[in-house]
Amino acid sequence: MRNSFIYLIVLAVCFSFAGCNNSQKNSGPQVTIWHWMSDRQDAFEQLAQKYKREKKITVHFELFPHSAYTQKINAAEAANDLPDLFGILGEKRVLASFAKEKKIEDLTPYMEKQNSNWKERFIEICLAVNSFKKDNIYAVKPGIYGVPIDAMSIQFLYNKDLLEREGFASDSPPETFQDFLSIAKSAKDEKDTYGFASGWGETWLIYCFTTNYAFDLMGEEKFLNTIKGEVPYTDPDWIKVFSLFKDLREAGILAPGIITMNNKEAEQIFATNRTFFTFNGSWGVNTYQQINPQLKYATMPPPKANQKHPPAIWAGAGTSFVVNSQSENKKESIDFLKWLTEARQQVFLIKETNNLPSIKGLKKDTPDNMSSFLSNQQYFTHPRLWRINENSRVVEAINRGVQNIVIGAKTPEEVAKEVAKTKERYKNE
Amino acid sequence: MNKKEQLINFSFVFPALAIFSFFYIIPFFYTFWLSLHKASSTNVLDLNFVGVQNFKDIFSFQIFAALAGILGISLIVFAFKNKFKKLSLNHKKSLAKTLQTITVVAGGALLIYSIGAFFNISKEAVSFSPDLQWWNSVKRSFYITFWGLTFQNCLAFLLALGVDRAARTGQFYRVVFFLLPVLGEVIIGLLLRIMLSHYPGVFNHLLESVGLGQWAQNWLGKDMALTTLAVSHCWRGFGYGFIILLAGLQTIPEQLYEAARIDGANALHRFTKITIPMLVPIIFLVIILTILGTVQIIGLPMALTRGGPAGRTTVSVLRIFEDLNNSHVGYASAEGLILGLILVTLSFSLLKLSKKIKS
Amino acid sequence: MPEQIKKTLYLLVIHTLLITVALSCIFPFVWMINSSLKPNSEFIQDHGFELPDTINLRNYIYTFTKGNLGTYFLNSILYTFLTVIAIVIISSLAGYGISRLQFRGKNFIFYMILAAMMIPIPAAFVPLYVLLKSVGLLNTRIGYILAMVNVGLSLSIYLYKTFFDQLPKDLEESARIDGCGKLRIWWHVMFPLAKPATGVVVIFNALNVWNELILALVILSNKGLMPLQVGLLKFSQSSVGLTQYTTLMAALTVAALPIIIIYLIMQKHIIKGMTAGATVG
Repeated sequence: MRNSFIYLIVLAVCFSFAGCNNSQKNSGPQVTIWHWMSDRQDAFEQLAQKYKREKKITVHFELFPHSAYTQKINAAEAANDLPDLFGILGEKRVLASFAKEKKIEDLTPYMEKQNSNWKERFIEICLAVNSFKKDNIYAVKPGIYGVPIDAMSIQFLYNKDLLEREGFASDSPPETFQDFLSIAKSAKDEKDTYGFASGWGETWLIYCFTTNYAFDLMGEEKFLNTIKGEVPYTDPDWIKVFSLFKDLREAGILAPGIITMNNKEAEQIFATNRTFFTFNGSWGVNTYQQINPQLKYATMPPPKANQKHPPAIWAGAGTSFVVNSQSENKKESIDFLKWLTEARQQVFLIKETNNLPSIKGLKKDTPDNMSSFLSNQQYFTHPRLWRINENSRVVEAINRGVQNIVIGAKTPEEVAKEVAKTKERYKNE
Repeated sequence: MNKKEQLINFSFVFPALAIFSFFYIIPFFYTFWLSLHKASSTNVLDLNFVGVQNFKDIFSFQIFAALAGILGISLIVFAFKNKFKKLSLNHKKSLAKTLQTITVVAGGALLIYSIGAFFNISKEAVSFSPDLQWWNSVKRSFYITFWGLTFQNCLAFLLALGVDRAARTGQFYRVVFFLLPVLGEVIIGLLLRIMLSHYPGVFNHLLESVGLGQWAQNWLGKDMALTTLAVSHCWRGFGYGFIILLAGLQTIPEQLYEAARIDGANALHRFTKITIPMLVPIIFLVIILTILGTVQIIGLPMALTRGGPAGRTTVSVLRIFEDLNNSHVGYASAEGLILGLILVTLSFSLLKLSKKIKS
Repeated sequence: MPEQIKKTLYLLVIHTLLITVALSCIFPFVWMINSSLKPNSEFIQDHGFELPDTINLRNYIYTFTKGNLGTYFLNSILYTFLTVIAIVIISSLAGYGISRLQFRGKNFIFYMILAAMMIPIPAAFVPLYVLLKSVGLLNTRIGYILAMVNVGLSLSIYLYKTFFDQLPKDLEESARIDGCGKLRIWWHVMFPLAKPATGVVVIFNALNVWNELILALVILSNKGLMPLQVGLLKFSQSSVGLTQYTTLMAALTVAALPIIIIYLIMQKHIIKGMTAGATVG
């Protein structure tokens, strides 16, 4: 008994040592990619296998849960242990920092290399979110620092069947916020059906919604001036923005538990015909397709709360990979990205993950449901295109404040005051 | 005792100490070093030395100055009480003297700083602004700890008492009550999320079907979320306390009870005069374990509520996580150190209390 | 007679409590397994409270083919097994040393070890990563195991130390007279006597390692090295895991059943060890 026990230990120790040698022993260049997109891992791995067959180079896609991803990247950065390719989560400031510290490669030379026309492949806005222009406030050397592998936009969606059932025309969605509220209210007629559901447990969706309407109610200039600190958050226009959430609440159209709902849960509600409207990104198509292939829906421009200024819609690259400038496999990594953004691979990704391609000329390969997310282009914008971004502490305060309004714990005025206070506290950061 | 024997004796703790220094002590100093830094506004990777600024931000200037003063006074008192006497017996007297002087000087410096700071505050009217987000998250952690200490431990104790008496079915309960800890936070968290979410609303449905429909509500909503989290945590974790307390109960010799019974002591008497005193060290162990396990709770809120709604279940460790995610590495380190300090103080005073009660 | 009634009443109350709590512990399992045998649509209808119309194994097939839980599972077993063994040996040595042997700075070391257990790990995310990288233990099994050993050490040393403190010294003395060295006393006398403490140490640390998630995410990057909890978290965040409740529950069942079976087999030994200690203490 005792002998077999010791034998077992020895065996386990051997196994554990063998295990760690294994990972380093493989010969030839290998490319390691870190990302957080759990819904794309399968497709990525299939592509990696295909690449191995074609080019004899092994590509490892390592997936980390979203909640721990940034920390992993930060720690790896501090230890100089970044993988060959990785995605960067967060504001433009973060991307800028990596570029400034020369941790990631400026890809402009590769993109503009003669006869490669790599740069020309991409949809402009997808490249723009990864680029720095001349004289940017971050003082980063101008250039393109990331390769977009898909595109996205975050839009209002409506359920055609439900709208029709309630007697509204399925091809003329509401144009004003008031109309939107009144149509959504009719959801009360149906059992277990809500007017509006969205994954507002994930706070970035709230910030996106808020900025969309901040553009609408005060215009881009005033919005950016608030970030600069020239307009306070207690400005009447901002109170109006926060009040929209109060209106949503008071209209009684919000799905219960909307602010603890995560994105996928909200997608599920929309896919099962239980909400009239939702606010979601183009990645949701995948879930809708999986749960209910018969679902009939379309995007619509944000219902306007004001006629003076156009609203905004966040759109740009969905996922971008950056290249570790200290990587030993820089060439192989860049080659892989080039291959990944070829039409063939992009079509594969459209089919497998239902995400919009980041390159032009694939209209006929994109199903209608997905290309609907490319409508309303006149409103497209992205925080990474703004010349300045809000401090993350303030964004956090806005999101928390909005959640508090939605559950009726605070008034818009109180929230505005709190956000202004937070802004004041962190103005020097 | 000669040097060689000392060395041999020391070698028993050496492996533990080696692992410790590597995984705790070095990271501790590194964390401390990081906590004195802040990223610049345009470059999150560029950490600048800012001294104790992060701590000032967390505590607010006033409390920070007061803490410095208190620390200064206690250092001076400590030095003048001459706690270094013990040291001077084993070593050279001069060492003790030097240490004493250094402590007094350090304490004095802190005190002067504190007085100066308060002088400044009174002159310039610095506004009182501790980081409420952080302290609220600490409060939430302690709210859950409070539930753990009262509800969870009482339940564990009651069940242990029950099982201790029920010899025949004891085996069965021991297995069953330990099932939940075996499963792990992630599985329990995911299961609970499905059960408690408004949709599909399994738990509410269950309540309705047993006729308690009026109790059905949004368990993860603004009013209930934190309590739901606390109770779920207690429910998941009571097995630990149960098993330890049960083992403790069974170390009490039956003869003691017999003797008491012959002396005519009733059940309540036997419980307060025999069971409780015999269990004191074990009870304190369970209490400390509960505090440690609960203040640092992370897996369950991550799976169940992710800190929502509107930050109402953002517990302290989750807050540290959020700060790390927003690239506030220095600030998060400072928060971690403060949390650690609170826990150390709490646990050590409990251990001391336990020793006092025992003797 | 009233004495008799009182006793019955008391037993009734105690057993009602025991049974209620026991039910609350068992119910989630039954519900989980029951639901995992249904298609998602059926689950949405009946909330998993009714028996499945037909036994439907689709969820399990999906879990086995797509979930990759097998590798994760083996990893977890390996980590748990090795970590617990290392902790038992190292901490009983240290506990014995601190309890019985004299050397300089003993108390200081003990209190330092106790204090260390309170530092929250997430705060040390970056330092740990940098440190492990510098000695080449990053993204290795050994690195993770050592880190987990460290996490469990404080409590285990504390438990062993308090246990050894309570043991009478005569046994040790007689062994010493027989000419045993300190190491042999530890191995042949003290360690076997410490069975109940070992029981507690094994249970606590085994569960701790089995449930660990955060450190694994810091130290490991290679999916082939990740433990089960990480695998489950990833599965739960994949689009299937988030939308198909019953498939998720099949994965949870697959992850839970083996550990429950291991626990059911082991618990006899564990509890025997703990109660054996009752006579010693």
